[in-house]
Amino acid sequence: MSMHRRSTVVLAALGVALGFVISMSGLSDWGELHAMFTFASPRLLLAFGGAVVLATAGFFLLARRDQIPAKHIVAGTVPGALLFGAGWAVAGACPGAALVQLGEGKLGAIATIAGILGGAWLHDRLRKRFGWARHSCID
Amino acid sequence: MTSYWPFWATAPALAALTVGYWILLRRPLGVSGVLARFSRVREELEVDRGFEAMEADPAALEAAMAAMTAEAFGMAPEEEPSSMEGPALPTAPSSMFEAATAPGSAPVDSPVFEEPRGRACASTPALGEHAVFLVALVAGGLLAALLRGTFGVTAGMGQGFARLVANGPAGLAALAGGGVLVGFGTALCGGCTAGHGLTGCGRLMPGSLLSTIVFFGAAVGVSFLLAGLA
Repeated sequence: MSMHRRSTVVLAALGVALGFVISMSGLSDWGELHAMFTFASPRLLLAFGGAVVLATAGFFLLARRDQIPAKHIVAGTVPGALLFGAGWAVAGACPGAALVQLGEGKLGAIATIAGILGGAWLHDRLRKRFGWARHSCID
Repeated sequence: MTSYWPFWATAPALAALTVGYWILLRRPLGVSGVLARFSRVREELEVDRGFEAMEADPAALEAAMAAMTAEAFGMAPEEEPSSMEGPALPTAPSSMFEAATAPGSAPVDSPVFEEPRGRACASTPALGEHAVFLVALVAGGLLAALLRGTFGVTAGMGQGFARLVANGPAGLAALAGGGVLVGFGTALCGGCTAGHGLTGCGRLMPGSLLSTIVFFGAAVGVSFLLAGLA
């Protein structure tokens, strides 16, 4: 029980920190994302690319032997990523950023979040109907 | 004009959160999978209840893990577990497999793990804990907007969105439609900018590297399309 309470506190702290960083970086700003996608500004591209490089180093140094679940290429990888990328460019929000936008007072994010929940629900129905494998990161 | 952080401040912050999330919680950072759980609340609550029942009954947990280890590695168990009359297994294969690799459990009676390895993945947090995480993301955005002095209740997504996508009710419809693409797409490819882009790419996972290249490429293509059509 105390383990659960501890992990809830850690989840809350990391959630606030991640939301804060997403907002301060501009990753929740439609215009900033559009500037990244059209290569009008290199700032977010360098921020994200730099984060990947540093995370790679961090995982290598601190968690090389850990059993973190693998992410293989599956049938849904390319079509799913194409749809996600299109939605990201239109709505200006990846799933985390949509929640951050709500906190920033952008009420349109409610429509985005409703859409994300609807899309996930639709996928779950189709997955069960057609027997697709589940590749979700329930994390 | 923009008061946003420069790239050299954002990059280490995101990387530290990505690696720190794993170190502190022994779960890979991801948002889309967490959000997706709330699109099927009833089912996820049943999964949670199944976990609780198994935690309360160690014999059932042990039997379930033996069965799942056998399933995961394509081996028949040496002997059928005799105490299978415990609570029924929840029907969530991915979550259940993660439970099978809970700390201290896998190496005990499995010949597959020959040498002790690093930290194992923890089991999926309860739905309520994940709700706390999502609310915390909202709070983080609020905190940052207040600190920047940019907090303000608005309906749209700014001038660029209004000009290049849509305004008013049509804008809300575009956001909902974009959201559907995000929700369906991330569920199909198994991650988002956090799960694939940061955690997966940071660990050089092929599925994540391909996903990230494709979703970034698609976003570039659609953005140029929006700019060209306007």
